[in-house]
Amino acid sequence: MRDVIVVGAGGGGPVVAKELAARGLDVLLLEAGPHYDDPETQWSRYENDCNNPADGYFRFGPDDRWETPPWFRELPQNSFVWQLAGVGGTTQHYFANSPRAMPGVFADYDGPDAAAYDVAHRFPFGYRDLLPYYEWVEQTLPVQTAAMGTKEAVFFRGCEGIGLPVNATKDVLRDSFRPQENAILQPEGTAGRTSDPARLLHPEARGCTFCGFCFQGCFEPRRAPRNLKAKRSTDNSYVPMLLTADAWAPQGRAATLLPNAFATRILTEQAGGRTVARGVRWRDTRTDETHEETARVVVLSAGCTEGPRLWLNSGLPDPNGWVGRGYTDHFIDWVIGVFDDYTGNSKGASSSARADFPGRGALEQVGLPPALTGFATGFSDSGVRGVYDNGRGPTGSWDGRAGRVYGAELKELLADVDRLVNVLVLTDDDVEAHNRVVRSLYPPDEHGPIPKVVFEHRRRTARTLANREFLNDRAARILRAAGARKVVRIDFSPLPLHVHSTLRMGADPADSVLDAHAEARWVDRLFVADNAALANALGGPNPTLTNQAIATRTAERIFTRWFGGEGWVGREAPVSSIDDRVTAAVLARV
Amino acid sequence: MQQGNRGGPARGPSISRRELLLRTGMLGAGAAVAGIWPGSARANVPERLEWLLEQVAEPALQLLARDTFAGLAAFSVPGPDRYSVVQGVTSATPGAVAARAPELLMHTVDVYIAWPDSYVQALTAAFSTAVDDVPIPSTLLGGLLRALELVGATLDDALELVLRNDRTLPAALPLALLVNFAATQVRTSAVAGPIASSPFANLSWHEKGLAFQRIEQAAPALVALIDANAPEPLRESASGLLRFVGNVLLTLTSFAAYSEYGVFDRATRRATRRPVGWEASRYMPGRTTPADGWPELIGYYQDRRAVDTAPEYEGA
Repeated sequence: MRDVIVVGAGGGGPVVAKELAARGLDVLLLEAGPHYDDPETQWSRYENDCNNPADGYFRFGPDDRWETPPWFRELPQNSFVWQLAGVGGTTQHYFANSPRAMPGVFADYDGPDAAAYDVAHRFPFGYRDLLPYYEWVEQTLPVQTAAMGTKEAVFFRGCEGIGLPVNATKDVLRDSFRPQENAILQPEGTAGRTSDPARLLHPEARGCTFCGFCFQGCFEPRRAPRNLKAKRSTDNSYVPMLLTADAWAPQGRAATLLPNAFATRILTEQAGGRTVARGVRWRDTRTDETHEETARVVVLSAGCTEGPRLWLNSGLPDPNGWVGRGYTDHFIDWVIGVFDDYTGNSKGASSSARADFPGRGALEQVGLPPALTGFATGFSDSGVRGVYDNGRGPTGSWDGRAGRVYGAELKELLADVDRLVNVLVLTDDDVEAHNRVVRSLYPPDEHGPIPKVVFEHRRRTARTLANREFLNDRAARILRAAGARKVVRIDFSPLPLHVHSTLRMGADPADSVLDAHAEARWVDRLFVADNAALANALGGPNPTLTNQAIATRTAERIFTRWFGGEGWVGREAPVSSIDDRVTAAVLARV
Repeated sequence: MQQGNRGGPARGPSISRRELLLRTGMLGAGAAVAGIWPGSARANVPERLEWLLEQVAEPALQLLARDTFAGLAAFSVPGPDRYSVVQGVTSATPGAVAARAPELLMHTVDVYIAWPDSYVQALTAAFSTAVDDVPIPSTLLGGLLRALELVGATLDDALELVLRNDRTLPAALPLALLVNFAATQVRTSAVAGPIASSPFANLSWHEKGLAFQRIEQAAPALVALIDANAPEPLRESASGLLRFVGNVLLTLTSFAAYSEYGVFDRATRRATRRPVGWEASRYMPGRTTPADGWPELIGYYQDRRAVDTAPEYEGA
């Protein structure tokens, strides 16, 4: 019997696994997808080779990408759920943006704008309670203030132009802009200062080399040990730590990582009138064999879509019907500015600048290579600009009606990818019961009934819709103030890249699945540690850091409640994932 | 034609087109709803010519799909290619057709959209009317097709043959048929145009938009056709399906147009020359491989290298 089995090695699972491995527990970490253990040879960084949903190396499917189809999920609307299998999960392609959540979405908030948030679905604890966990994770990853390239300078110029103040802290207190707090090692040595590949090798180059491929996986600088790659996706940070916990933690015990292991059932038993988690069954995607192991605690970290699916396929209790409900996605949108001058759009960390609007959401500047720009300009709920608008096509401070950029206009807009600046709109969106994961009526796959992700995006609450319009307006104004000669709004269809709250924690047992400690209300010894556990959409900030802070808190809870231990956050100093002890162990064995 | 590769041990029961027609009464009901359904199944091909039809059926349907997606590619990013010429919107520099977006799109939807076989077959049958007046392209098998031409064989006959034999079909085929069906609703005469095997590819650029408007807005005629034919339990899902596939096709085409796919060598995992989309977007001028870095660092905003918790929350 293991002490703990963690299902899913994405943004949250490895955090729990690393923290508990550091306490000496016997931890098994299962991951449905592959483990890319030599990215410099395994990742080409070409956009289609990486991001194609059918057979890209960052797809949602088994490791033999050119032989076996991806895992299909039903989407009964114009949407695309960008899932990603593999050790690191979606942090493999994330931008590493690590802002803290808006204080207003927590139980202790009493500011004058307290009513401006999703007040019905606040976190069941205080922002102040979470701060020590934020600080722990920020030092572990580590999180650093992002450097500036041309595209950031353009964005800041626009923010200054509309009179936004700068935020020089880690917390959002008012409408403001700032460089991102990113989980990226910032450029040192020759990084960011040359394009000569011979001079971009570690250790002459350290940190971000400004290659522009955050979404295709980070292995820069070349020759750096895995834990010293610039972007702190969990495969570069927490996973190397959990695999070497015995080397850097006094009582540590290295965790076991098992890739290509798709969990198909949470095993339970009845004890004292309660349902109790006792293990996990999984399928080896390479051999088709089924395995089971028992554990004293099970942690579900499979993501907002697969977590509810596994819950439902395991026959776990769902007495209030909230398993899978309340899916939030920041109802993201996309605004593009076309400039006469060079913007450096395709170079540097993909997002190093943002603006925050408490009670409304956030904006972030995003740099993309051309194929993903094609994707972003094509993904609309408002038809094709100049032809049809699907009954939407909102107008505002952008040019013309919002909609898909196509044909001659697309070719002209993308005539120089380095004269664009993109702004991603991250709406502070409400938890709504009808946006949800259910089991599809399509035929099951080899892992059981498949999930169906339902977004009734045109029925979002008035607050959500108003927030999205407000943010689009601000995005367009920022771009114009920065000097854009043309601004287009795409009006994205649902594109759940930021996903949250499908197994939400909450104060009210009537509309939550987890208690305030992320333990299942109706299944003892079962915890959730990923974005699904989040109570709401955080007010708009990117979710990974908060997920990781809460996962740290959850790990403490597991250790104190079920293993008789004591907490450590606030009592000890965290070991950084770039600590020399970690590096030495990584070089020796990973 | 590529074999569908939709994986997984569980597959729905296959439904032959003939069985489908009998069971659902599709022809009558579909005709009433859609308004243009033919009065009877075509089945013009005498039994003695079926061996010949068998030879050309799959290449003909492959060409149908390819031409349709090429028409879509030109709609997304026009170039000097003939599909752009036919739509009346061209560009002097290569576009999505030259980038091999049609091929990537077909491959991607075949692999990514893992509908059950029975669903693919039903959709294929539902939209076969899109090509019931479209002759089998005479470029296939050269003079051997003369016999089929004489009896007026159409792509619909080829479809009926493959459906009757319950072959595994790729998702690209019903999607191409859907697009063509929508095209014939925009302009009936699109069945006879310079691109022989795809009515959609014969539309003007603006008309192509109107065809996708019908798909994305789940036009009642399209919904009724799907719902009349989809096997249980997938009925009543047509409007969501149409919105999903409309958006996927339009979006993936633009992605494909600017990707490296057309010149990518899978063995070496490198582009063999500059991708069309890289040239069109002036991406990394002169390069065929992703760069390891750029001298793009300016510094730090207001020279600030680090920030802390706000004073309001210090000591929490």
